[in-house]
Amino acid sequence: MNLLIVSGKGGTGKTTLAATFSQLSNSKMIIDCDVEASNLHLLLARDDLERHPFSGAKLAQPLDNECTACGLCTATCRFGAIDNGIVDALRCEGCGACVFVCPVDHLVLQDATTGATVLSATDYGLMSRAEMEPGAEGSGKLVTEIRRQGRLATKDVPLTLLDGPPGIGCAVIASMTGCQLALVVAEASLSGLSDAERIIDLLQQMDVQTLLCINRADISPELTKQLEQLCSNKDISLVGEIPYDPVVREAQRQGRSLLDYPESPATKAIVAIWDRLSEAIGEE
Amino acid sequence: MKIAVLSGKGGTGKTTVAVNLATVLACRYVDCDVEAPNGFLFLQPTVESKQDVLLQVPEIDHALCTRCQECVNHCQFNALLGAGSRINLFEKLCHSCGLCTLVCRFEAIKEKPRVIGYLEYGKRGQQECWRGVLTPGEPMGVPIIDALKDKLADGWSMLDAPPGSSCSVVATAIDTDFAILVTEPTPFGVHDLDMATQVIKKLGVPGAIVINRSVGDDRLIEDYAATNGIPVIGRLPFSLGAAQAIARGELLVQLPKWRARFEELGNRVRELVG
Repeated sequence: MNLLIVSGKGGTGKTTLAATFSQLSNSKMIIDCDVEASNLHLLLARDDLERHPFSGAKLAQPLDNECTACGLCTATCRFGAIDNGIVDALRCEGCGACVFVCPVDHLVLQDATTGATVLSATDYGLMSRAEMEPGAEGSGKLVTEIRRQGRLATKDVPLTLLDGPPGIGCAVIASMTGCQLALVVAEASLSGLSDAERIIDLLQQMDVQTLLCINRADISPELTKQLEQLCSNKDISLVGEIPYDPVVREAQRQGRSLLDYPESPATKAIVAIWDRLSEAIGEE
Repeated sequence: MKIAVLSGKGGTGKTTVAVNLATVLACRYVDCDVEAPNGFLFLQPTVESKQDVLLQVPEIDHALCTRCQECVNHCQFNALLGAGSRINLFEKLCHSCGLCTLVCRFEAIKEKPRVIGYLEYGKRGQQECWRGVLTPGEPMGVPIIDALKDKLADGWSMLDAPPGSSCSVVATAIDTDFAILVTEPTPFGVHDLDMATQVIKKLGVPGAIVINRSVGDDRLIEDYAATNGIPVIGRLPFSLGAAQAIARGELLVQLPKWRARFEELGNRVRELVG
């Protein structure tokens, strides 16, 4: 069973929930799919056990032979990434069109290192995560790779938790593929509502069973009401509402778990959400 | 003059800073967060035009195709599959590089446009507003960001970037004149601020930091800024009232105290970019 935590909008509390669920559940594997801005290891990782470089993209590279400055590569490249054999690595998509058209074989495609995959130990099991090269291409491929590494490291675990990236693009799609259950963490704001609608649209296209919880629900009772309405319109179970609670930020600043604050209203709400999720997981 | 607003981490207040700062600077607002575009919820421009963003993908003439597999073998994105009796296209994997049309010796491949999202242009009073919107289910936002940036005339533009540090952020920040890095004084905030900083350093774009949701003790960010030689040009305090106004989709500059803060920030930006 793969449980994905997503939101569309960034900063709605995905990582806080994922870390707390990892402590509450018997999950022995958690995957930080937010490879572009990974934070889960700051809360959970103890030691790094393995690290492998990862190449998720290709890059055109000039060879030592002479470029005749014929201009064919410049004219062919649709990404504005090459000017007579001089490659702009940040624009190059690694398609190889320049390599194909070059009449003097001045160019080759080479694998580009786009980051590293890391396997870390936590107090509760293992974490598969990535350190992505800033500005690199192919975050979706890196997500697919750390999920594969996660499967290799733990055979037949009953539950894998996935902390998803924001947005609805390739990294999100790569996180969602093959997940049976998703929890949408929606923020009670107009932006949160708009982005929740878009992620639910994607989850339903991909046929993933979807549950929703509302974070900072009391910041806007009107928007909370609209999110509740969205759930009933889309036939999605609402599994809880988390109040705004300064303890969440304080815990993060102190590098502590929310479970260290058992009386905090947010902790209580998240524990209750986990109970309801466990039931949904049991029913799957 | 193009200014990109980025953060690495999501939900730090990029859109809040971008819409309010664009308003006090009376400049164009451009929502490049095409996966989760929210700026228009605050600015509510009167939309004057909308256009589809098209991506050219191959269309194979099966009568001319000899199934030689050259196109399949050259495609770096696995968008073409040669199994069975014909070549099949997996259109969402296609990066629209056009290489397959070049390698085909039988002129069996032409291109056809495919809609992956749209652009919208509108006005809020005299203020110009643009946004790009990616269709859910589509994986690639970069062509929409590129199409959006092609539309921008001269004058000041405030580009609201997506979170993260990958290709969409690069597409937004490349060729801009200045970057505003919005962060929050938490371990997550500073970790992801560093990702965003590394992106603008690679692009050669100068930048400055705005600390959002400051609670007085911002040492985490101040130390980072000092170590990396990036100025801190603004501090926006945490306020429950502001959070509630933002949740309702209101512009903070409608509140006098916040208008003053954004005007001060606008002045710092003007000083820095000239």
